[in-house]
Amino acid sequence: MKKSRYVLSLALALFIFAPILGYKAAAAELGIGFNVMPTGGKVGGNNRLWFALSQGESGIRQFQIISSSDIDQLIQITFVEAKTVDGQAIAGSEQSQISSWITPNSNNFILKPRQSRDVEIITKVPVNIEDGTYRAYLKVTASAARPSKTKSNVTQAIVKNAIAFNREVYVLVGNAESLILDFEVLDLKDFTDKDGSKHIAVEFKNLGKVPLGLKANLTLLSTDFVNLSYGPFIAGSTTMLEEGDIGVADFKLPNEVAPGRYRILVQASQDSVFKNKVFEKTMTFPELGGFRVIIFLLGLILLVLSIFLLRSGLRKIDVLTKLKFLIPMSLQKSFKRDDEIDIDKFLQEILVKNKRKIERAEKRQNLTKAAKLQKKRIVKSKKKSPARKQVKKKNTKIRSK
Amino acid sequence: MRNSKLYKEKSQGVLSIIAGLLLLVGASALSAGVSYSDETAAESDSDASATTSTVDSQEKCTWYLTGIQASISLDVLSGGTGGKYDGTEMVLEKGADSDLTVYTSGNQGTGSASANSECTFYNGKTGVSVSNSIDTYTVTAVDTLGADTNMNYSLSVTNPLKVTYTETTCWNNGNTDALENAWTNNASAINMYSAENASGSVMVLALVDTLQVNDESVSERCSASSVYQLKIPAGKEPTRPGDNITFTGPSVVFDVTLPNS
Repeated sequence: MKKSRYVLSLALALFIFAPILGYKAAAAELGIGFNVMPTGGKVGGNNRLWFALSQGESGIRQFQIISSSDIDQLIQITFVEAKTVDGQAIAGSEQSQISSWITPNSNNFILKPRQSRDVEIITKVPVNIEDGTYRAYLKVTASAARPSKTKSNVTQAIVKNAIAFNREVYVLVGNAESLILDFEVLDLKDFTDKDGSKHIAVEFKNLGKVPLGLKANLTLLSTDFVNLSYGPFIAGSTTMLEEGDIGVADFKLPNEVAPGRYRILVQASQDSVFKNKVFEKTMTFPELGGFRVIIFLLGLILLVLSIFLLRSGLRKIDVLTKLKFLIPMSLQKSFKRDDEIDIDKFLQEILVKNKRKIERAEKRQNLTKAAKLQKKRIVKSKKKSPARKQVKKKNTKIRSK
Repeated sequence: MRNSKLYKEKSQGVLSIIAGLLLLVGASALSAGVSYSDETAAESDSDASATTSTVDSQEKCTWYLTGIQASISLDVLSGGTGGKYDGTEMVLEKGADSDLTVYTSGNQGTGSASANSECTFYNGKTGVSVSNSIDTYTVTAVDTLGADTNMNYSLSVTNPLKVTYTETTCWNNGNTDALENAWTNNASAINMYSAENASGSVMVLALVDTLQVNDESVSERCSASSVYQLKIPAGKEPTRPGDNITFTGPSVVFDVTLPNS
C-alpha cells in the first residue's frame, strides 16, 4: 500500500514537472528541414525557385519549412544577393535588388515544435524593368523564439546560433518570344570512373530561351539477349543550362550492367515538354584517363621511328642528325661528331694511323739495334788494349807502398 | 664492317617489331577508349505528353539540420583570477551539448537522423553543404546594471570567434565513412573575425548516392561535435569593477545550401 502510494506520488510529480524538465532539456536545440514544392509554369516542374515572367506579370512558388525541433523557432524570410565566388553562386549578406518584387505570404512567424508551414512567394515583375535574368537567394532563418537565461555570478560569453537554408531564386524577365522552352538530347558516352563505377553521361542542348534543369531517366535493353534490360535509372537534375548551353546528366549504373550492345532509351523533361531518344550502341565502359592513349601514341612514335630507321638505309647512322629537331641544342653538340661518322672512312683513317705507328716503331727498333752493336764493339776494343793494363798495375804498387 | 651492318640491320628490325606490337596494343586500347564514337545505328526523336494517375505517393526526401543549440554559454578556460577578468587575456570555451546532424528524411517531419521516415528524392537528388558564417564582428559586454561599453571589443585575427568541429559519424548510402568517404568534413578550426574571414565550411556531400531512402540503413547523414572559443583581450577596464560581466558574441549562422537539385 505504502509502496503504491510512493509510486503514485512520484508519477504525479513527474507529470507536473515533466514539461518544465522537458522544455529545459530541449531548449538548446534548433532544427528545421526545407523543401521547394515543384509546380508547373514556363520553367516550372522543377525543384528550383525559377520564374519566367513578362514585365508586369506575377508568378507564385511554394516552399515548405518543417520543424525537427522541440522548441518554438522564429522563422525569418529574406532575399539576399547572389554572389559568385570561385565560379560558384553563393548567398551574400546584402539584400537583393529583386527583394522588392518578391513577397512571402508569411514572415517572422513562430514555427511550433514538429510542425510544418507552407509558404508562398509571389514574384511581381515591375513594368519598367529591362529584359534579362535576375538572381537572388531565398534565406530561411530559424532561431530561438525566446532568449535563453544566463548565469550571472561568473564571467561568461554567450554565442547565439541560427540555421539558415539558402535557395537560389532565378527570375527570367521577357516577353513570350523570349520564353521558348526547347531542348535536344545530343549523345551519350559510357565510362568507368576512378572508383570502378560504371556511368553513362547523356548530353543535352538548350535550344530554347528559358533556362533548363532537366529531369532525365535512362533504360538499357540488350540487343544480344532478348529479356535482358536495366533501369530505368534516374539522374540528378542537370546543372542549369542557359540558351545554347550543352550540359550533361550523369547516370551511375550498378556494377551488374555488363558490357555489350544495347538499345538505350533516354527520356528527359521539363515542365510539359518531354523528349525521348533511342540510341543503339556497344557499351564497353572504358576507364577514364589517358594511359591507354599514351601507350597508343608511344607505339605510333616507335613505329614511325623504326620506319625511318629502315628507310635511312645502312650506309650511315645519321638518324640523330635528321631527328635533331627533337634533341635539345646542348645534346646536339655532344652528338654532332658521332652521328656523322662514315664507318669506312673512319676505319681507313685508323689503318693509316696504325701503319704510321708501326713504321715509327720499326724505325725506333732498327736504331736501337745499331746502337747496341756499336757499344759491343767499343767494349771489345777496350779489353784488347795493353797500355791500359800497365797503368792499372802501376797504380796498385804505389798504394801498397 | 659487314658484321656491323648486319648488327644494325637486326637491331632496326627488332625495334620495328616492338614498335608494331606497341602500336597494336595502343590501337586496341584507343579503340576501347573511344568506344562511344560507335555511331548511333538507330535514333528517333519523339515528343510525348505527360500522364497522371491517382496513387498514394511517397514522402519527399528532405534535408534537415538539427542539434544546433540555440545559444551556448562559454565558461572561463584560462586567464583571469578565480574566474574573474583582471586585465589579462581570458579564454572562454564550451563544447556544444549536442552534435549537429544533417540528415535526409521524409517531408512530413516525423523521422529523425537515426530513424528516418521512408522517402524518395523523386527527380531531384541533391547534395548538401553546411557552413558557418557571422555578420557582425564585435563582442558586447553587459554587467548587472547594463551595458559596459569599456569592455566591448572587436574580433581580430588574434582573438577570433573560433569553432572547432570533430566528425562523429557520417553515413553515405548505409556505409560509414570508414567504408565510403563521400562526406567532406572540416578538419581544422573555423576562425571568424572580419568580413573577409566571416565563414567556413563545416561539411559537404556533393550528391546523395541513392534516390530511394527506405530506412536509416541507406540514409545519408553526418554528425559532428563542436567547441566554441572566444578570447577577451588584455588591457580592458570594466566600468563597474567587481560586477559580473557577460559578453555576447556574434550569432553563428549554420548556412545550409542544396546544390544540384
